[in-house]
Order: sequence, then C-alpha cells, then structure tokens
Amino acid sequence: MFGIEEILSWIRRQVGLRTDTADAAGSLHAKVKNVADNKIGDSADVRADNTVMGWLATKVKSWQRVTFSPDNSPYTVNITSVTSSKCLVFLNGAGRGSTSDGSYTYYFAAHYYISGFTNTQLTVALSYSLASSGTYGILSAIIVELY
Amino acid sequence: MQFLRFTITDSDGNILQINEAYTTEKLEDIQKRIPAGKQLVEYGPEVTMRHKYNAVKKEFELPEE
Repeated sequence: MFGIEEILSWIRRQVGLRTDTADAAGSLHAKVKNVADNKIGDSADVRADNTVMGWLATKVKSWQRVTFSPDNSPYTVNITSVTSSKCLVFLNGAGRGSTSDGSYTYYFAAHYYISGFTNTQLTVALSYSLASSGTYGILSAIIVELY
Repeated sequence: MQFLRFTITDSDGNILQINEAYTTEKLEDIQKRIPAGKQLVEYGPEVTMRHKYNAVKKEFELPEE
C-alpha cells in the first residue's frame, strides 16, 4: 500500500525539476532538455555538432578554386584535400586548336574534360589535339565538397 | 575552417597553378604533397598567371612586356 509521500516521491523522481540538467537517462525534465539542447540544437550550430539545426546549416564542407595553364595533356594540378566522392567539380576554360587545309588555317576551341580526380589531385585532358600552332589556354576548376 | 591562398611554382618562379580554398587542411600538410622541383608560395589577391615569383625578394612580380 503506497502512501501519499511515496507517490509524491515517485512523481518528483520521474518528472524531476525544471532546473534539471540535460540527461538522456534522467527525469522527464532532463530528457526534454537533452532533446532541446543536444538533438534539436540552435541556429548557431554547425554540421559537426550533429544536431537537427546543425544538419540544416550549410551542406558545404569546403570550397576551393584552382587556376592553371596546362602545358601538356593530360595535366594534373594539386588541390587541398577532399573526399572526392562527395565533391562537385566545375571546370571552365578551353585551349585553342588549329587545323589547316593547305591554304587556310582554321582555329577551334579545344575543350578540356576531367580525366582524373582523387582526394588531392585533379587531372584534365584535351578533347582534341591542338596541332602545332595551338595554345593550351587558362583553366579554372571550382571544387565544392559536401558533408 | 580557414581561407588559404597559395600558388605552386616551378624552380624558376613561374606560376603553375593558383589555389584559393576554404578548408580545414593546413598549409604545411599541402606542402608535403608538392612534387619535387615545385614549391608552394602564399600570395595576396593581386596575383595572376602572368606573375612570376622572385625567391630573392620573396614577392611576386609582373614581368615587363
């Protein structure tokens, strides 16, 4: 047979006090505070905090741009370390190729494609041969790494 | 997270590539991956592919036309 004191004691233990600290195994107050502080978080949280608000923050882990002028094809540049499987890569720029029919020389844009991409290097190659009077041009690549 | 600006030049100071990055990687860790005969040099925002690094003055210069 429980008396009123036992019942009040059980309620205090289970519900707790509004000043209880966050604790996943604590009272109801402590559990609620744990969810608010450590699971939901606030607008200042970043992705690494692993809270809901942190996950709603930017999905971008790192960003970089590399500008270069190839002197060969394929051509490799060094990048700051990324997880290549989680990256978006934007490549811009072209070389100038030429061809001749004997009387005239015709010029065309020789575009590059990404022929290799590792965690620390980006390799590009030409889609067409430049021929002797061609120029390799200047390229820029922007690499956006996501979490 | 930090913002890095650096170039990789050949032994004559010619710029091979210009890098800008928001990254957590440290410059000294990138330096370790640079192939022999090349060097990593930090730069200001004014550097272009036409600049050349003067290792004696430790600054980038624009060669005269």
